[in-house]
Amino acid sequence: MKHLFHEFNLRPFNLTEFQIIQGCIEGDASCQRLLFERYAGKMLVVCLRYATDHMEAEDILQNGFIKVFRYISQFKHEGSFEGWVRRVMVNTALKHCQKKRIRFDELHPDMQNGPSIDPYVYSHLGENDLLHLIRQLPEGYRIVFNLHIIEGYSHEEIATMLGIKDSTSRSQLVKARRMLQMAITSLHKTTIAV
Amino acid sequence: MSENDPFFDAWVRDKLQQAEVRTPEHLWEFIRKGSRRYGIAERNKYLLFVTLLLGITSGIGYWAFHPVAHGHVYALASSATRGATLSTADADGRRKFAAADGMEHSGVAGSRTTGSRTTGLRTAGSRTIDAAASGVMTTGEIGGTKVDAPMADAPMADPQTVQANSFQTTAPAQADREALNTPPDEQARPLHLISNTGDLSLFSRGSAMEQLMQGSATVGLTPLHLIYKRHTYLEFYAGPDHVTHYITASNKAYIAYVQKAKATESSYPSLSIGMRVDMPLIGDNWRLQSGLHYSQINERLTYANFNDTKTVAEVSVRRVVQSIGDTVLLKDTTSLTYKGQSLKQSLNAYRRLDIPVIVSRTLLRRGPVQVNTSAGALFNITSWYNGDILDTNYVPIALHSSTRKGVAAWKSTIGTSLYGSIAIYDQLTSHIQATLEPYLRYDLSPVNKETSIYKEKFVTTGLMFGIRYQLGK
Repeated sequence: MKHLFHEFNLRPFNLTEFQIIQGCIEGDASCQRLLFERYAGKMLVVCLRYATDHMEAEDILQNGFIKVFRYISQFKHEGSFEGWVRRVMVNTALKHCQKKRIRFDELHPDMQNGPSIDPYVYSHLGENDLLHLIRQLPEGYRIVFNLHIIEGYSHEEIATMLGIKDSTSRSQLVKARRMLQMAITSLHKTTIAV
Repeated sequence: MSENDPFFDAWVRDKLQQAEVRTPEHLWEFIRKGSRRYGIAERNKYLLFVTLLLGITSGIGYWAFHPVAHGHVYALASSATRGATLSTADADGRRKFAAADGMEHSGVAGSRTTGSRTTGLRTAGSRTIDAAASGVMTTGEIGGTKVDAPMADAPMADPQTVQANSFQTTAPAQADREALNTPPDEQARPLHLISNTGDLSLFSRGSAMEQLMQGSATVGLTPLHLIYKRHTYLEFYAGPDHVTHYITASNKAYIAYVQKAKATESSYPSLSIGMRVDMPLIGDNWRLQSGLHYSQINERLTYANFNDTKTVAEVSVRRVVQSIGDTVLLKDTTSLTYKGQSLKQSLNAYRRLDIPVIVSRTLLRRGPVQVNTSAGALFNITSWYNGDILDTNYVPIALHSSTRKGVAAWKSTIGTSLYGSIAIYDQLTSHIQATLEPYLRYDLSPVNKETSIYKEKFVTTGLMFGIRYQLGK
């Protein structure tokens, strides 16, 4: 890839995504750096959603990017590259979580319908706060919630990925959603009180 | 309970799908190193595999089929009991192997006899030396002096006369002890002959040595290290360790803390150093090793706080002159709160001094190389440590074996550890051996005190490089 810079007098940030991918396949460090800078911020959010804390998220991101650089030649240029990177990160995060043996317990079987959230909250709750609240969900809830709501996997796919029943995935999602809604409402109340 | 809440789901998705956070700079360095390491291994995996295969094959081949390893004559012990082995150089400097059947084998860089046949040799000059097996006395002449050399305890002594390389062996022959004025207990002392071009060995009387040394062939005692006896060794060793930390919560309530502690702590290269005495226990194959073993276990603590706040009080002083002689000193205190990220990295070191009690068994002896397997225990005498540890509020605090300098959360004696290893010894000189010993050490008790909310155990794998010195003759 270095020859590309010399030949066309290109600076790294002028490269297209295709050129960056090709550079990464050739093992060019500047292209890898460029790819990292382009996607690291977004992917760290993905990792943060699955991890219990920031350090764990960084570990996942690190392993995820090493995998991206290792298997980048397998990207077929079908669909978006960001989606492919995101899938690698999600799979890495799942593997990381599965090492800890995720428990899909029914932690709150008597949970009623979630509270209605004030529209004001929707407009004022920041991404970091929402991320923080998701991270506080029990691990089983959090993973199913992330996979279904944000990544868009179906319950059948989630069941296959995690080795659980469809019904477990559905119930975990419902409870995760309710728990998150309650957490958002209580955070809003606390904010008003302060 | 309704299963779907499309509005809420869409809101969460929109909020987070394209969300982005700042990435710490150090992450790229880790990724780059990880990718590069993998890349080198990946690109050269076939080359590495072939190199490894070649290395192993040639190593096995060398030790299995090469009669002399590292330039040592190693068959002397066996020749002491099974027969005589001699090699020499003929007049034109070519090395020859004088065998019982009278055949000459040229170009052999060492010698070994598998039978108990009597062998003879011709040295560079015209002198001859005769050697005989047990009950077989060989008579020869060196520089006009008659030399009788009785062989020691050869079980297959062949009383026939064997003629090899034009010198004569008579059997059975009578020992001429008086002529040599040699005490009987010295008669079976092994001799090591060194010719101008190679090694010669036989069993002969001690006093014959002087006479032999007058010739072009020199005679010396067979190095004792080549005869495996019940030696005692003093061993000094050192090497790198890799320590795996197993952290478990002492109570379910502290699982979150343990996860955090695990995330902040990572393994760091450690080391061991020690000395021990290696003495025979049962025969020469079972040995006991004991001494002093110092090890330092290192771990890195990396603590990052992304919402760190620091409050600083600033006092500014003003002097207000209201009128002449009426000056007021005003002090304003301002409190400033800084918000940012903090990163703390420190190295925790746990040092301990142990007494090893290890039993070793010899598995293999092949020339100068010996392989032993060992098992035993290390008893901790004392331990001391320093570093940082997370407290229950997830804030790092000083950890120290002295309570005045920090929290003394770890034990001052860790107790007993189990030890297992495989040791490879290579003879360097007559009294010195080099040792290589990969080992595994498992601590039976955790390093933390009983009151601690988590338990941390160490499992150490290490590679020790050492020197073993043979005590006495």
